[in-house]
Amino acid sequence: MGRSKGRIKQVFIIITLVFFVAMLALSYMMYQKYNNNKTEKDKIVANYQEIMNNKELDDEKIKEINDKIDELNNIDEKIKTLRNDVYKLSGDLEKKIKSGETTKKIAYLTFDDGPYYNTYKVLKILKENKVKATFFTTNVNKEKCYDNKNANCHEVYAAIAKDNHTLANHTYTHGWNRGLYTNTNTFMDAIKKQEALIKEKTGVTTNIARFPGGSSTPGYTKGKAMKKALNEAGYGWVDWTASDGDGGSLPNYATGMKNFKGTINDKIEVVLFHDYHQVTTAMLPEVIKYLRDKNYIILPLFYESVMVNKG
Amino acid sequence: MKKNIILVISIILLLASIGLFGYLYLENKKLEDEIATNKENIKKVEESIKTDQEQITEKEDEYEKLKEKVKDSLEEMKIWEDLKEELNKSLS
Repeated sequence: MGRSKGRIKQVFIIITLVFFVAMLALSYMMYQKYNNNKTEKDKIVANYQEIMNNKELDDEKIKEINDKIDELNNIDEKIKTLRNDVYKLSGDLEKKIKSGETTKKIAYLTFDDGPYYNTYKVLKILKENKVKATFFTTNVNKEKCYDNKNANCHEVYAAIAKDNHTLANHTYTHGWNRGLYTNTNTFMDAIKKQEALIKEKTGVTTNIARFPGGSSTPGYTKGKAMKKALNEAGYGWVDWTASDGDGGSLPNYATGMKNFKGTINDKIEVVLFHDYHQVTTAMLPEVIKYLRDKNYIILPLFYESVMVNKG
Repeated sequence: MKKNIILVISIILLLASIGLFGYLYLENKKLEDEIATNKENIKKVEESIKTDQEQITEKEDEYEKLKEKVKDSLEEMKIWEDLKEELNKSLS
């Protein structure tokens, strides 16, 4: 009986050890599999990380393109902001010039009595030379341009506004010798009518005016009242300090350049031109070059400028 | 007595080896689950990247078209930027 028990124990021990060895073998195989899986997992994780990095790059690229699209969609707003920045900096430069802190100078190119069909040519030259100017407009041409009866002169307003030049008011009638200066009411009526026309054609509300013939034309007393009325209506007014004489008889290019150069003496110049004049139009590229060579920065007029009188 | 001790040791060893196997099995299972999840995630991200690429192409086309449309405004903006820069230089 004792021997039989001992034998059973022996068999049991053998079976246990066989199982033990088998389990060890299985564990070893499982360990190998575990190692293989771990290597595969590491590879997959690295791959996943790389793909995620690519995804992040794509997301950034999409964001970048979206930002660019937004910028283009808001470009008009951006130009408006830049324009205001330029006005602010121009005001600062004017102060520096006045106090003698800089040798830089400013020229404001202004064009009176338009729009004409020829204004398109003027706009083209200004664009080619990257110049912003000021147009003192009037309704003397009405819808038919004198210099091209087939062209609608009211359409020129939009072209001036599109190029972001300063649109200014030169009265609806320009009738300095036809009742414009009879009294403050006749003058302000012509200002308001021109303001409404510009607003209708471009959406721009003007705030700078020029007296046809100049601010002295109405005479001292009447002029004073008109300037006060302009001020009350939110306007500033401006004369000019230089010109090529194209308001009178300007025979040719050489005379125009001579006249023009002869009037360029100040550190801040408001140059008077007329956008109907062919000689002035031809002169423009040389005028711009001359001013730039003389250290002038050419700018559009703005209400806050020291050259725009208030009251 | 000796056989009893050997038997006990054998049983302990067997139990230990079963434990080790069990542990390795579970760890391995965990790994396999993680691998499966990661593979699934990769597939999803790859699909998403494909969509992103299509979106990028579309957006780039849209941008180019818009750029062409606002070409004049871009030139206009450049003029004002140059003016601003020139003024800044003059003021510095």
